[in-house]
This record gives sequence, structure tokens and C-alpha cells, in this order.
Amino acid sequence: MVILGGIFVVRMITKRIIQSIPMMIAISIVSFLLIKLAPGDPVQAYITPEMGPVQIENIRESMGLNKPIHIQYLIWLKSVLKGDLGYSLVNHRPVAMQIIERLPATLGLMGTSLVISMILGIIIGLISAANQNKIFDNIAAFISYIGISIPSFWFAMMLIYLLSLKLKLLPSIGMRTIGVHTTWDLIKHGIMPTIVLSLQNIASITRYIRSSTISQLKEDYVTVEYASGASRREVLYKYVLKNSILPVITILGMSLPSLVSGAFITESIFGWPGMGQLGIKAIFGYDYPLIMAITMFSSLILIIGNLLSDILYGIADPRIKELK
Amino acid sequence: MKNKKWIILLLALVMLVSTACSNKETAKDQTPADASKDTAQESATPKKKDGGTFIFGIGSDPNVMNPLYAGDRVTMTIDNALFSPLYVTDEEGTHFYLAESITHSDDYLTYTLKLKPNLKWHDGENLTADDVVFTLNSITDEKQNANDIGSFVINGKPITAKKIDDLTVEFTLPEVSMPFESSLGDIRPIPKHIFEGEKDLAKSEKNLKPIGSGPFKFKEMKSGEKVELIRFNDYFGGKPNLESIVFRVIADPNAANTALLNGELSARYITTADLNKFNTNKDFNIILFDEGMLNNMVFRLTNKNLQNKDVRKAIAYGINKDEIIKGVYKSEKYAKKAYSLFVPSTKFYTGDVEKYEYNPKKAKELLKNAGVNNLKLRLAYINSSKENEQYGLIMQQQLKEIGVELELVPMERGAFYDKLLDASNTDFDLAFNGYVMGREPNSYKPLFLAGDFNNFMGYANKELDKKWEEGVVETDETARGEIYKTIQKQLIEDMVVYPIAYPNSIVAVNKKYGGTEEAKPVPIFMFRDLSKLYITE
Repeated sequence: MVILGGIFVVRMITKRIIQSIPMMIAISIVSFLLIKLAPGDPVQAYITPEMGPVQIENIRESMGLNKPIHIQYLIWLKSVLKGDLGYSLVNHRPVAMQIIERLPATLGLMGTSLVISMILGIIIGLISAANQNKIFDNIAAFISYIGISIPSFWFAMMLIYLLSLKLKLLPSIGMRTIGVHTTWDLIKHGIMPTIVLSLQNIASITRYIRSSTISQLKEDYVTVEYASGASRREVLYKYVLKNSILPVITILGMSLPSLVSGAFITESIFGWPGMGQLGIKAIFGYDYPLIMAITMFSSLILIIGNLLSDILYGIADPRIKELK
Repeated sequence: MKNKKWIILLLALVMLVSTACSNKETAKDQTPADASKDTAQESATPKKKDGGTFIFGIGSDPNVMNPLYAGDRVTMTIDNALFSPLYVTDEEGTHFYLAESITHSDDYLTYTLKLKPNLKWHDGENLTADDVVFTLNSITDEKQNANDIGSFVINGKPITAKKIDDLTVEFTLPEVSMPFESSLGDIRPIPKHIFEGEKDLAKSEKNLKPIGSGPFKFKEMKSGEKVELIRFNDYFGGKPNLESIVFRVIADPNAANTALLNGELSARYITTADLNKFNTNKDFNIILFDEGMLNNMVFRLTNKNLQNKDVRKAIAYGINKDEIIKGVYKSEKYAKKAYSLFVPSTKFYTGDVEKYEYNPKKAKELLKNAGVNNLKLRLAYINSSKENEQYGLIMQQQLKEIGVELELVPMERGAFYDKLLDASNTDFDLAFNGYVMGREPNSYKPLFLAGDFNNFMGYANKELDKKWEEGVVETDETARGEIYKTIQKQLIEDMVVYPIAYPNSIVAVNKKYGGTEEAKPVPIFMFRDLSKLYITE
């Protein structure tokens, strides 16, 4: 049984990888075209009135911008296949290095907020479902709607105003205080961005879990458990939980790209040095190699995330295994 | 049913409470901070203290930390701390930094520069004439694409530099070029012993750990977070008072203001909208200085109607500059009305030009005589500029009075510049722009020379082109002054660019820092010589 399951997974992974390759190439072509066809280019940031058209052409040439679009794409593709993601057109540093520099900050922030959202979302969702339409459920629903509706930048500014400026409890910007290298300092800086990021996620996960649990609670096996003397708590946490959280697996898989692409608005407001800020800086600076690298990286993670959640779902949900 | 009523009540309560809170917030903003009670007990004259950190806010990482390639504000500000210029000339005269003197031959074809003795690089090596020669040769080397190559190559021929002795460099010009002296001063030398042999200076890895001669040396950079500099004890201008300077990356202006109020930033440029947060706050000093910028409106001569000078003049008479300054800046303290296309800090600036004082009657007359009525024009500007948007809205109202309909066309930055730089583009007839050209009047030439890449108007005045060229080679100060005064008068007479305002830079500095006057507030860098700043108490 296990061997059959194992072979199934391997076949699925292989099929997916083969499917992904043309998908990645298509994504890269579309992204490349979109960026190049948009008006503006990085040379604009360099131009000063003393520069004559000849000098500007020289700069364009040194950036490889004067070749026809399909040639530029093929040059890019060739170097990527060799493992070289290229150099930023704006600061001439290797693109791969810039991504690696920023990744930990984003992973840390997004990862923490995802874990917190999951845990709180599952707990609140379960309890809401178990107490459907009672006080807890209504309060939780109310807060969820607020959480989904609040614009994150407004919420972020309010938090900063309250906790940082007025109550002086937390620092307002950045990842660290200048000159301080403690973990506690890092945590202090991360509290507010994590709250902002988590709020929306908690709200939506709560709603998912709640409806999933409610439909589970109507199932026959729950009635059977109650009949054989199980307490409410046992029923909820021992039997219903593992079925209710199945949609969470899909959510996890789909959230994976956001783990690496970061949240631009939150990162900008808090000055958190992550991938979100890097991505927007690349876009506004028309820094093509960096934009392409970030896009391809996010796409890769999305494909992997989907694959993982499909596999996990297959393992977790016995009904799917039976169908196979 | 009971639950639904309960929810509605809760909702109403929350809304009530949040509106009450927001009212309280605005009330709090209007009263001075509680911290003022503490400062009242402080001594009257705060004492200068050695050490301390000054934290600037920057919008993004610097690009290439090499003065040959610094084109954006952030990079230029950081380079100003790391690399000293040779000398700076302003309204007060010439301030010598690395250089001790600059003289020229009678025929103005040879210049001799003397460096100060005992100059040091951040790594302890001596800064000598070799470095100056190396820097100039790197700038004039076509393969290196330095930003300023155009200032040191005259009609295709490069200026050459020769080392006379360790402290003396001789520059030879292929032709007389009066702008050379100020371009030379602006050069911030780069170390020969670091960059010699590097094939491509812009892409060199040495730029990641810059070695300069300025008051502060590079310590570390964390992408997206900060650039940290520490004091250079052997700075020729004397050991800096501050221990370190940090440039923190904070993109959002509101968050940056909060950080400033919180003490997480030491100073930043603020706008007139931010003013009331800081000028009643006893913890901050406000510094105002001329930004050296002209905010202007460009006339596109691709539009048939705008080709008629009287139509352009009519529009100029139809604009009420007083109303614009008051509406956008609240007071003349924060921006001055502009009449000349040069800024007051440019050499040979003159305010003695036709002012086009607001005169709607004359405007309507001019339009009638030109046979133009119901004129419709499209005005383009960058959509993220609140200032431009306000200019546009006010002008729209004003020009309606004289029968001209303005259609406002806000554009994304990239698209705007693409179209502006293409003089044949007809997507708009008017555009808002701004420029900072510096002290040397010849810097304005590319904007107005017929057929120049930077001439967005499509303007051509052969007579004036001759005057511009005369200005480059005229060696007599008075005669040179006359040439540029004539140019300014003629440009305004031709009304191809409408001057709007000379805005001031507004900086809010935390009161615990002193020495802001000696450090000399200047545009872009904020302070010219950071070694003069100090922390108090």
C-alpha cells in the first residue's frame, strides 16, 4: 500500500516537473515582454542635461538595451540556463546575491505571520463552529469582517501612531535599532508588521475553518462519536480537527509564493528590508534582470507550493487515495 | 433576532468611539508635545559633546557609490559624506576643500591646481596629484561612461591633465571654456591605488567598499536597511565631532515623519503639508534654504497655436503667480515667484526681465489679435507630484477666465519622460517640469539650444544660440555677465518656458544636534560639510 502510494507520488512529481518547464518558459516570455514594452527604461534615471545623445546611446549599449527585444530575451535565457541570473542594471551587483540578502527578512516576517495566522485561525475557527451563532461566534465574525476590510496601510499607520509615537512601546521603522544586535530588538521591530500581516490572514482562515468544521460536525461519524460517549472537546480536537483543516493545506500551498514575494505595502511602511521592497524598487527602476529573477523565483515557488499541497492533500485525505 | 440587534449596537458603539478617538488625535496634534515640559528645565545653552550618531532617512538604497556615477539624490548625498570635492564656488566665493588654489594662464587654456598637503584617503594612503590625474582620465575615457564626461570633452577633444609634482596638477584645454573652472571644482577624486587596472569602473566590486577622502568613511551597508559611516579622524578639515552617520532606508514619507518625531531619524526634508507637525514642536528646528530649482511649464512648439509667440504671452499674462504661490505653498517663505529661467543662485542671474504681471484683459486682447478663440490645450505632468497637480488645478481655473481650456493629463513617470524627451511627440501641448542646473550659467544651454536633445520645446533661435556659444569663450567677467543677462531677457521675451516658482527646501532637524549653520545647508546633500555637525548635552 505504501509502495503503491510512493510510486504514485513519484509519478505525480515527475509529471508535474515536465509540465512546469514549458509553463516557466511561457511565464518568462510574457514577463519579459510586459516589462520591455512598458514605456521608460533605466537609463532615464541616469540622464542629466550635460549628456549628449551619443553618451546616452553608449550607456544604453553597455546595459544591452539597444538590441532587438527577442535577442535581449535570448541573451537573458542563455545566461539563466548557465546559472547566472545577471547583474542589476542600477547598482551593478549580482541579482542572485541581492535576492539572497533580502530573503531571510521576508521569510522571517511572512513565516511568523503565517504560523500565527494558522494557529489562531484554526483555534478561533473551530471554537466558532462549535458555538455556531452564539456570542463567541458573533464577536469572532465581527472582528473577521473588520480584519478583511481594513486597508493594511491605514492599520499599519494607526499601530505605529499608537504603539510607537504615543505609548512609546515599540520602535517604528526598520528591522533593528542602530547599534543594537540583540534578538529581542529584532522581535520588537517585528511585532507590528507581523500583526498587520496576520490580521487579514487570520480573518480568512477563520472563515474557512469555521465553514469546514460546521459541515464536518453534520457528518455521521460525529453523531456516532457522541453516541459512544465522547466529550465535546474530544470530538472537536480528536476527530473533527484533522478533517476540518484539509482546506488549510490548499491555503498553505497557495501562500507559499507570498512567503518569498513579501508584502510590499507593509514592508514599505515599516521599512522592513525584504523582497517586497526589492521587487518594487526593481519595477520603478526598470531593473530588468532583477524583475525577471524575482518573477521567475516567485513562479517557481508557486509551482512547488501547488505540487506540495496536492501531495499533502493526497496523503491527508483518504478519499483521494481511494479514488486512485 | 436578539443577536442581530446586539451586533448593530456594537457596531454603532465602535463607530462612535473611533470618531471620538480621531477627533482627540487632531486636537493633540495642535498642542505642543509634552516633552516641552522637560526641555524648559534644560540649561539655556546646550553643550557640545564629542561623538554621537546622526541618522538621515533615504528613500532607497544608493546605486553605485562612486562619484563618477552618482546621478540620483540618495547616492549623491552618501557620496558627499564619503568623497570631498576639490573646491566649491557659491555666492560667497570659493571654498577650498581638497584643493588649496586654482589659477589660470592669461589665455585661459592652462589651469594649475594645487592640492593641500598631507591629504589622506580613508585607508591611510596619501591623496596626491596622481589621484587627480587618474580621476580626470577616467572621466574623459569614453569606455567608462562617467556621468560628467560632457563637461570635460570640448567639441570632441578631451581636456588633459599632467602631474607637475605630488601636489600640483596642470590642466590643458583644447579651446577656451569658461565653465571649466566650476566643473573642475566639482570633481570628487577617486583613489588611483584602488581603481587602477579596473576594466569597468561602474561595475567594479571596489564600489561596494568605497574608499574616499571625506569626513566619514564607509563601515557597512545592509541592503534595504541602512548605510553606516564612521568618522574619519584624519579628515583634512579637522576631526569630525560626530562618531557616525547612518542613512536609514525608509520609503514611506508618513512613516519617515513618525520616525523623525520618535527620534529614530535625526533630520529629513519635509513638505509644507508636514510643517505644522514640526514648527510648533519644541524638539525640532526648521531650516529653510533655497533649493536652487526652477519649477516651470514647458510650451510644446509642435502645437500650431503655441508656435505663435503672442499666444504664449497671452497664457503668461493669464496666469496669476501670486495665487499659485499662496495656494500651493501657503506663503512666500516656502517658495519665491520666479521670473527668470535662471535661479537666483546661478552666476549672472538677473530679475530684470519682463514679469508678465497678471493681466487677463491683455491676455484676452493678445488672443483676439492672434485670431485664436476657444483654445484647448493638454497639460501633462508626473502623476505622483502633488505640487504639479495643485499647479494644474489652479492654472486651469485661471486660464478659463481668458478663454483657454486646460485638460490635465497626469502620467506615470516613465511614460512622461519618454514623451517629454521626444520633441516631436504630440501627446501634450504643455508640461510641468523642474530643473536644478547649478551655479554655472552655461549648464542651461542644452535646454534651449536648437536641436539639442534636452530642448523639450522644439525651440529654435539662431541668434540666441550664437550668444550661448559666446558665453562659453568670453573671458571678461563683465562682458560675460552681459551675455547671460541678454540671454535671460530674450528667453523670457520668447516665452517658451514659463517660470513658476523657486521652491525652498524645508528641513526639520532634531534640536539635540548643533552646528547646522557651519555645516552649510545646501540642496540635495542637506549639509555640505558633515564634519561640522555635533550632538549636544
